Amino acid sequence: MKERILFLDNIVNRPLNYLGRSNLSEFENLVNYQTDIDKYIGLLNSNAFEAFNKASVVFIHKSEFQKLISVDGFNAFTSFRKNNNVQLVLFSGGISNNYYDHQNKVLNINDQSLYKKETLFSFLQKCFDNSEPVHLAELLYGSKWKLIYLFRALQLFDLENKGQDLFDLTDVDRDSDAQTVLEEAVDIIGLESFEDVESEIKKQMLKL
Amino acid sequence: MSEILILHNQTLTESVINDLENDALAIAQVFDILPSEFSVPNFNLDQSVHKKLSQIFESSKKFDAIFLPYNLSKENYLEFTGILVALHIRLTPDFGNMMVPIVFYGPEDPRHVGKLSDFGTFLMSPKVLCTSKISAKNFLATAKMLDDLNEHDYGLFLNKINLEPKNSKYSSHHSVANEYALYHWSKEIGIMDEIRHVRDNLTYRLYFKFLDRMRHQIRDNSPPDSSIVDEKADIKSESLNLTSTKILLIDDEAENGWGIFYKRLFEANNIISNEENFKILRPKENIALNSLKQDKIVELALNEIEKFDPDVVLLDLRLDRIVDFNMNTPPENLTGIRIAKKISQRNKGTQVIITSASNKIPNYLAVSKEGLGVDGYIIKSINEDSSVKVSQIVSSLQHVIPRAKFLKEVNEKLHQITRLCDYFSPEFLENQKSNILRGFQLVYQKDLNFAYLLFYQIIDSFSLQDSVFTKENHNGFVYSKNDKKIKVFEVFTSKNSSTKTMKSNFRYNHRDKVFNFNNNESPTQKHIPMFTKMPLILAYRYKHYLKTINDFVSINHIRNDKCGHGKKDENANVTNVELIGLLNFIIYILDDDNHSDENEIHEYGISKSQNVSNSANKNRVKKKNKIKRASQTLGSNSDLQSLFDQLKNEGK
Repeated sequence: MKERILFLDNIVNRPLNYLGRSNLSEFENLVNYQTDIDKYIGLLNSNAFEAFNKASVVFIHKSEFQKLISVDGFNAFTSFRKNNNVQLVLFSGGISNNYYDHQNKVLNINDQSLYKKETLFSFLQKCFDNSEPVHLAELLYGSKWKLIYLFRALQLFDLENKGQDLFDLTDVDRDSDAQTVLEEAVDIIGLESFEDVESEIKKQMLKL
Repeated sequence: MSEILILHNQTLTESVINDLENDALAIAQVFDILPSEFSVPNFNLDQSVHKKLSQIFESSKKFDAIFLPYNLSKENYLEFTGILVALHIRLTPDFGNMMVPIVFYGPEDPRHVGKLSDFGTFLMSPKVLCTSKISAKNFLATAKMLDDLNEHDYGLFLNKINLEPKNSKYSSHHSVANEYALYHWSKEIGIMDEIRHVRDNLTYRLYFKFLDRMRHQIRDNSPPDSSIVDEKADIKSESLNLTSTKILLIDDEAENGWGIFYKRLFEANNIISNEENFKILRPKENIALNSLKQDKIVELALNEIEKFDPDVVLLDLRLDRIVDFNMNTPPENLTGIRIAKKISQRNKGTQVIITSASNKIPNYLAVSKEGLGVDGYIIKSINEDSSVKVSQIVSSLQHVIPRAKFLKEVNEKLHQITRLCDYFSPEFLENQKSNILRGFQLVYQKDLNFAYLLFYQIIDSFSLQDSVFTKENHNGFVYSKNDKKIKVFEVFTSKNSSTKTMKSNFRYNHRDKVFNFNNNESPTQKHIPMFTKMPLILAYRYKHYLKTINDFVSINHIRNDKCGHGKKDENANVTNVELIGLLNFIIYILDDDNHSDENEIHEYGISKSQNVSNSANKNRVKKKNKIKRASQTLGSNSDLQSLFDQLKNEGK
């Protein structure tokens, strides 16, 4: 399992100030905090992705990322990440809407949402404590992150129960069909019927 | 019955969609938000939703009801984009369906949705329904039972939802109000194309749509705004030319649209005539003003003020990211207040208008308590009528500019008088300090009558100086240029009586009346009356004496008619022009460049002028050259400033 989290923020010292020196040293083996962001963007532009392969999650300030990376470079990096299971978090104050792109394993998150005790710190702590990779949606939604998949599965099971053949609901833009999406969702939540999902949602909601 | 609109994104079975498409009363419309949209730089979900809805409502069709799922994006269920879309419909007048009932459909429990969504309270607002019965038949039947919202319902809806800005940029009231005011005020003067980024933000963002609706509601019930103009700034423009006004904008948001807004506003209202008269404070290095430390911002501002010498400074209170946005910072430590203090110390003529999105009264109380010379303020507010607000900005400027120009002119003339007094003699300056300082304070407080009296005393004192006028053995003498002592009158005692009579050759015309000094008032009194003495001094000491004597007679009239205890008209007030006239006269008599080389008037009673050596006069010539050199290196206002500082300290 990969251990490293590569952190590239163009506001120098922000992660350090946020996490504190003691915490950062606690996460020493986990968080690779780099201030020379240009160096890493340069590597991306020249398709030299090896420096990123050590990381399971790469955090990059979005404005720097967009300023320097070419479209081809972005696509190549996306392919590399998918093949090597490297998740990407793009954060910025200009992001108005947090968004998790499940297909491309990219989280767009507002920097104020990211730099909150209950999000980034908890996320890192969980990465530190767990041997399993932590889902990026946890940065957005914390412990209720699985509800993304539970509600989506509920919608699709409902359609299926009403006689809709999910294979007919093909989404060209996403290069997928509803059946594939449901299967992925079921993989994550481990439930296989409308009733089970509905029951699990109720259980989860009782905890909130 | 008109039509119903159903938005979906593979959230309906194909059979339901077919039923809806076959029904003349229903329009089914796909509404999707693609992951690829999020990879676009600066993607804004609100903008995307707004544009998609603009196409759907392009025909201005009014629907009976709108149906949509809680979520329209396939990836991010918990963002509840369906509710976001519904709120856009509810809050955007241009879509024409603000009052239409909205029905959410789906297998989800609406209580769960309400609990999870940031917009959950919307589900409990008027004319919002939730249904799990998903069929064309049910949708149409439900729509038949629903009515549009009325105004009261809409008010309840606004009170129910609690929207947040969702962007770090708008995390404070300050930044929201700032951008909101800029948008509406720019709209008011028709320059929206010049602030596109702001226009886009405020046109599309849900939060600003919400504020806009709130503003409409509040505005209907709020009293008119009265925040801008400081009532003390009521000096009329007289003959001053507004277009030569110089305005400096000190605002960390200047580059984000405020600079262009003020510039266009002032151009349109003939407050500035060319670009050079409007400046924005900018650091030399291509960096943001608010990225500098507070001391550096203050220093930069003062340097610019010294160079540009503005009539008006539009000054933002909060310019430093750290100090000014710390809740514990006392108002007097805000960057804007620190700059205002310095401007006040430099020259009280420069008018300062505070611009701020802050409505915190203590800041303004601190301003008035410390007597900083802040002459008005503009609150970048979100709740007031833009047309009223914009016209108030213009009128406040039109109000303060004449005052700025007048005060600056008075200030400059007093500096000139200070230098000339010092040149005349340090003792003379020492004696006039209080008249100069107190006089300027009175001008600032708009008591021009009393200020006039004080400045007049400088003339009086001048006439009492031995190096100007002396009386020896019943004879009066005036010193002209080159220390020439000239006898200007003689006093005779009548042989038959003890009556004393003054005789002088000099006479002059004023308003078609001949004035002579024979048999004038008794010169036996200790002080010869000013009305007698001063024309003689002017006649024998100065060039252009006839005009100057006329000026003096007018000044004397103004003094007697408008000032002092025995003034003729209780309601008469000294005008700005009259006060400037008095100061010009003082400058004239103190400046020995105006002395005549050869006296044109025949001396009385003596055939040849007496050249009397006057050491005081000789010393003055040396000192004048010294002061002229010194004033070239000193700041133009430094002499009077040190005088002010000294007296201020003495007063403590």
